[in-house]
Amino acid sequence: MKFWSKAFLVLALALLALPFAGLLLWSLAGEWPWPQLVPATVSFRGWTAFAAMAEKFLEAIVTSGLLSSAVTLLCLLVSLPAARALAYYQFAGKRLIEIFFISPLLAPVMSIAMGVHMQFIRLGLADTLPGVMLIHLFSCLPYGILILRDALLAVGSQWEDQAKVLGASRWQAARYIVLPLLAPGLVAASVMVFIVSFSEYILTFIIGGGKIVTFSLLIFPYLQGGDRNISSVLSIIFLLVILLWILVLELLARRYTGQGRFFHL
Amino acid sequence: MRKSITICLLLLPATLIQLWIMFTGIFSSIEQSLGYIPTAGLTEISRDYYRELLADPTFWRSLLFSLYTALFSSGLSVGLGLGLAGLMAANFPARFSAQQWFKLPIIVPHLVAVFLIMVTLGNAGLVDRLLHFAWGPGVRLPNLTMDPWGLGIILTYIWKSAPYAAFILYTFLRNTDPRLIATARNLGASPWRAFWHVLVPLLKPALGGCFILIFAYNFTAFEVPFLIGPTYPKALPVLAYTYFLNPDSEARAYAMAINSLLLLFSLFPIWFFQRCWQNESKEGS
Repeated sequence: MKFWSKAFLVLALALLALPFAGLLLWSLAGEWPWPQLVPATVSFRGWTAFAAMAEKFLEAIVTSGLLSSAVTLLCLLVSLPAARALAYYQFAGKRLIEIFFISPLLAPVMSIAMGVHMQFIRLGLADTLPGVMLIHLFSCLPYGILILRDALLAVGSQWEDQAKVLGASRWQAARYIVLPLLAPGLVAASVMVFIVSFSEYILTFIIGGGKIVTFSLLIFPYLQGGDRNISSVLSIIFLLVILLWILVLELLARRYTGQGRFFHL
Repeated sequence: MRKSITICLLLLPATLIQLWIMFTGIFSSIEQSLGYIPTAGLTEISRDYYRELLADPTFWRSLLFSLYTALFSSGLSVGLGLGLAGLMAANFPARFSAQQWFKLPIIVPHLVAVFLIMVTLGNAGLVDRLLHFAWGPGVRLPNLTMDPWGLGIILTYIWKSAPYAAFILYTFLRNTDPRLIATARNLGASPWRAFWHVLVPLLKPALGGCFILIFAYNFTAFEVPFLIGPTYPKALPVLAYTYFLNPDSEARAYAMAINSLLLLFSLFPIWFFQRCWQNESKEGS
């Protein structure tokens, strides 16, 4: 029993990690005939192909990075008040509004985007950056609200009240008490929202009409096309950008609160 | 009085944005599905698009295919996640950081996950080669792309969601009182019985919530079935998208009819989630 349960765990962790090994191997594989375990020759074909198109890709990475950072910031700004209301206040219809905030996670967001598209054309939002940001914001809001609500519940409102009782101004209490206590929640929410926005393909395509070229949009045909070298390199770059974002947030949070390691990755 | 104004102001921005997008999306989908698309020259309201859609076997095949892949992937994900969480709790009770590994697939977007699964579990992938290395010729893994059984779709979703389910359930497991298990064991229950008859009933709301969140996503998501799924039957969101891209204006009405049906169908996950949640707070208090 003990042996089998350990074996199952090891197998599960191996299946979790194995794809990443495959990714690395394929990004450097030259010839890799079946059924050899490791590639027969090493080749940097995928990397040189990426370098040759680097300008196009970098532009898309910058577009994506800025777009998703802006969406993250907006999402936190809108989510934080709502999360506060849900965490610290009791009111009639609270359950209903909680279900309402969760509902985008349970409903077909793509169908909503296709419907919204027509209205966005009328308002001049289709094929524009603000339009894409709005639809991203919509699909990210539930993550922001839920993560921040849980974080606020874990912190509790008593520290803030205590600071105010001791004479701190509203701003002082927010800056020196709430912000450091809430930092882990803010980092977790920013990471999640950024990942959701940065990975988004279909919403960007429907509302952006192919005019707003994000990194996901650019690499989609390559992943579909089946050149394993280039696909691996692009996947690795994608994951590196996300890891970089997590690292930056961790460092920022550490600078402001004097503690670190919030997302543990 | 001042309190309720504060609450309203706090809730206002998020509510306005979400309500506007949702209402416009739903209203416009229904409007266009009934054939009212003035920009395309269609102004006559009719139910014909629904009638023809529901008479089309392609639609029903797609619906069944989407239901089948979503049910299998979410059911297996939650089952595997529960097993993983239980074993983690039993084997490494003190190592809370071990669960951090389960977060790894969260940072991998679905389009990359599809590729990862292809090179790992697909034909001539890593596991295929390992099997050949261990057992010699004879065992081959199937090709996952375009597979009519949607194995690639299901495997990709499981790889993405089982660790997520394990992560959530493990957190819940850690928050349950360990004395409950100890008592059951003292009274002579085997580890398996204690797990199945004590822990699982306690976890029921979390299990249901996890299941329905994963199911709702997998049922309506586009990327994975589009990249790795068969051309026939197409998953329902892929079918809607194909109609949506079709320049023929009547095709757009069919796309919107599928969208409206998907939106109607999503009332079920919302109701189900709400129910799980109610049970959870009842048992919590």
